[in-house]
Parts: sequence; C-alpha cells; structure tokens
Amino acid sequence: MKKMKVLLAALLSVTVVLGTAIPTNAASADVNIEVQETTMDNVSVTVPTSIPIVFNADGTNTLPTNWTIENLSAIAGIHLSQIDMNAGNSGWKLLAASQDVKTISKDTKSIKFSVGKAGDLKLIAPTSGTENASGTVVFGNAEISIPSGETQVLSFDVQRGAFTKSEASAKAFDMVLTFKFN
Amino acid sequence: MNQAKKHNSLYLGICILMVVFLAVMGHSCGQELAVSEYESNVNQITEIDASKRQEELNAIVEEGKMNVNYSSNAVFSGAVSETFNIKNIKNNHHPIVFTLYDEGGDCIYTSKKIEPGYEMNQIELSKELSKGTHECKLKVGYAQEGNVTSAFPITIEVK
Repeated sequence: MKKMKVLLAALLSVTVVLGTAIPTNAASADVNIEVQETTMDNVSVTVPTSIPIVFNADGTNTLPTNWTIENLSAIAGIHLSQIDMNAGNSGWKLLAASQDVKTISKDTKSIKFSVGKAGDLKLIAPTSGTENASGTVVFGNAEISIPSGETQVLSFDVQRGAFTKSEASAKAFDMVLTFKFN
Repeated sequence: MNQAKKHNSLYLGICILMVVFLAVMGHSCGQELAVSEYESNVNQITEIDASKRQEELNAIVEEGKMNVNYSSNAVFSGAVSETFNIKNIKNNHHPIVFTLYDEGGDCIYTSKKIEPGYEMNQIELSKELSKGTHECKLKVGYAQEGNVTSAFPITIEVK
C-alpha cells in the first residue's frame, strides 16, 4: 500500500512537471485511428515480369542486377519453390550441365541458364535429355525464403556460344515462378 | 661574260626556290590527304558502354514489376464464389490475367483482362470442385507484356 502511494505520488509529480513544462501556446494534434476489417489472408508480392538479357559482342553477357521479389504481405512468409522455363517455338533451348558451350557451333540458340541467390546459383536443367526447349529447377523450403516485409534479389548466369549475326528475340523463353507459403 | 654569269646565277636561284616551293606544297598536300583518309576511316564509338547497358536493362526490369495482390482463401458454393478477391492495383502498369488450377493441374478458371485500379470479387469455376478444401494454384501475370508469370497457392473451400 505504501509502495502504491509512493508510485502515485511519483506519477503525479511527473504529470505536474510535464504540465508546467509544456508552454500554454503549444499546438495540439488529434490522433485519428481508422480501423478496417483485417484480411489476414491477403497476399501482396511484387515480382518482375521480364528478364532482359544482352549477349555482348565481346562475348560477355549483360544481365539485370535488380531482379527483386518483394513480399509485402502482412503475415505470409513465402519461398520460391520452382522455376520453369519454356521456349515454345522460339528456337531457343536449355542445355544440361554436361554440355560444354565452348564446343557448340556458332549461332546455336542453346544456353545454360542458372538462377538463384548470388553465389548460390542453380542450373535450370532440361526436362529431358541434354538439350530441351523446356527446363525446371526446384528449390528447397529455406533456399529462397522471403519472410513477410522482406525482399530477395535473384541473380542469373548465362553460358552460350558465339553469334555471328545480331538478333533480338523478344520472347526467347517464358518463365513461371512458383511460390509456396512458409 | 660577267653579265651572263649573273643571269645564270639568278636562274639557278629561281629554280632552287621553285623546287623548294613545290616540295613544301607537295608535302602539305600530302598531309591534307593523310588527314582526309584518317577522318574517313576512324569513326566515333557508337556502341553503348557496359554501365549504360546495365542501367537500361535494370530500368526495363523496374518498369515491368507487377504487384500480385489476392486473398489466399476463397469460399465457394458449388462453382460460384462467395468470397474471392484479386486486385490489379493502380501501381501496376498493365492489365493482368489470372488462371486457377485444381490440385490435379487442370485449369478451372481463366480470367479476362483486369485493368489497373480494378479488382474481381466473384468468379464461377468452369469445373465444380467436390465439397471440402482444395489446395489450388493461382497463376498471374501481365496480359501481354513480359514473359514471366507467377504461381501462388490458394485454398478453395467448397460448401
């Protein structure tokens, strides 16, 4: 009881001190809170929709460095579980790890395409054989995890042969990113 | 005799001067020819430098970013939804389309284009799912732009 009194006295004294410290002409601001129905199952994720790639004349490649997935969801952590690529009828193909791009003939539209976190890239392997128009890579639950409110940059690596003619392939491949909840 | 010698010396002097003059002229003409050849064979570099190209690629990626915004749970009465929501928020630059797949990978709904700033709150599946809970897949992307689409889980409860 004695302690309670001391605490109350202390609280009062603080209030008094504050009351005297605030100038009489201080501006006041209202704090307005608007409450809306909470939708806990709302998913909000920002993803890139294209991967522009340039095969430079000197043999190097220019690839995007800002390929970022942003998880804006309030509660849902996600992870990237799979990436599928499909060239359709574009003529491009994905090569298996066993294939050496240095030995393929010039102007061959076959590439080795790797993706993942920087320093930990995984090859998108052909769905069958050593060369195929479609390919897949699977990631474990923790490999590319993006908790709520966080972002993840994906890096790429492309290995290819030489090209003797300039060409622009608007849609060499279609890509599907498959996400799951953590 | 002396007069003739003087004339000869004068002619010789004039000849030497002419030779020197022609030599100087010829040399300067040669220089002009060399400059002209240089100019015709050496051109300004038109190839974009690496950093500029990198900036351009990153700008394309940035411009193409799309926000996927939907409700991960949907309730259906038969084939018609009671609760369902997908938004194409205003910040997205283009119309979106989405497709729903059931657990077996069969397409059960394909949307038309949804313009930025609009949402869909009701759909009717092309195939009625059995009563209970189904772990389905929602695949969404820009209707025309880009070549990357994203697939997310969606739980469909059929009453």
